[in-house]
Amino acid sequence: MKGKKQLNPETFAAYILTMGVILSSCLLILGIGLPMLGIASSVALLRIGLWVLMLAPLFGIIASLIGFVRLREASSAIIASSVLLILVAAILTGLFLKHPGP
Amino acid sequence: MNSIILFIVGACAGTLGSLLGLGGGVIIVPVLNLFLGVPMHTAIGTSLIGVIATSTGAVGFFLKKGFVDLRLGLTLELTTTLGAITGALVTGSLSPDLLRLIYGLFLLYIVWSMARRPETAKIGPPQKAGGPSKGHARRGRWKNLHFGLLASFFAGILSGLLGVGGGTIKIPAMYLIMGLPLKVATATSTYMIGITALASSTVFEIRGYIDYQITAFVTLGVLTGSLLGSRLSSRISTKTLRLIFIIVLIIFSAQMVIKGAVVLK
Repeated sequence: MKGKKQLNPETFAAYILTMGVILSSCLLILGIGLPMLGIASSVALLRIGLWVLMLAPLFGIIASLIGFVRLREASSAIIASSVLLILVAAILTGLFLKHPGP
Repeated sequence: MNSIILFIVGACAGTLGSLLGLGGGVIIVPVLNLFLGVPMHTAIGTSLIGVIATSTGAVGFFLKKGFVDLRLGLTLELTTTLGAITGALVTGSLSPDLLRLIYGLFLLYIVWSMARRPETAKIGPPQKAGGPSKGHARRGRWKNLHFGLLASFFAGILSGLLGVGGGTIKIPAMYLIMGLPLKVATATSTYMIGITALASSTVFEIRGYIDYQITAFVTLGVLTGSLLGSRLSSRISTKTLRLIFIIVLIIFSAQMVIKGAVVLK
């Protein structure tokens, strides 16, 4: 019971999202701070930091999905999987329809 | 561009966003485009990342406290995400002037909806009456799901098109039509806007509309501001703040409409 409580969809998603915010903040601060010290190029770090932040909600949904599976909530798990599929499709759509903007 | 100014813009958007239950995009896009000369599409891309930052920064607390109706949020995201992708794909083919005009009209809608909303929900201790039981969102206690899905689709289109969270449509839909308590509706909307903005921001990122330097400073500002906003929420009069915000939005919308009206000539 305790294990199930620890891994309920809400708390697990909250944990993953908080980790995502902390990690992306650290990367962004490093990306901004390092060039000021003349140590490294920052663009790659900034890009990784922003992608970590962008993908945090996606990992939040995966965490919720794991929680739903643990609680054997089939309908919620199916909905979470569907949202995940749509998000992955969105990323792939962006990749395949890539063209220069106006 | 002055990094401190970008940080302050993000911080203001994050603070106001968390105090008034908005994503912060309605501040970021007009300020970046009108006052700092950032191209409209880049401003929208930056705003979308800011919306993710507002949502991700605040929703951890809401989830732990049980204010978010996770199951309803994910169900509504089925259509919101599709709308966001549609909006993000459409916005690439619209001219900046047309986008400004649409944005200005959208800001006017926000002014109207904020002026008639009774009080913005503050996320605090659970209500004794009318609020979620034991501080948690009640599972399955909603109605008119079909309307909610439709409203969410339009909220998604607006998010992808204009770089906003879409909370101004989702919150009234969940609160007034689906029958959720206001606090649960606000928290669930905060959870949803991050996922919605993710769907459209990937399209913007891949198309090269995201400027990493600008976005990094604005995002850090938003994260700081949303933390500040949650601490200030118990000390500041939301009524006064909302009045100031409405006046600022009227100025922004007027400028956006005037600049965007070129497209009608």
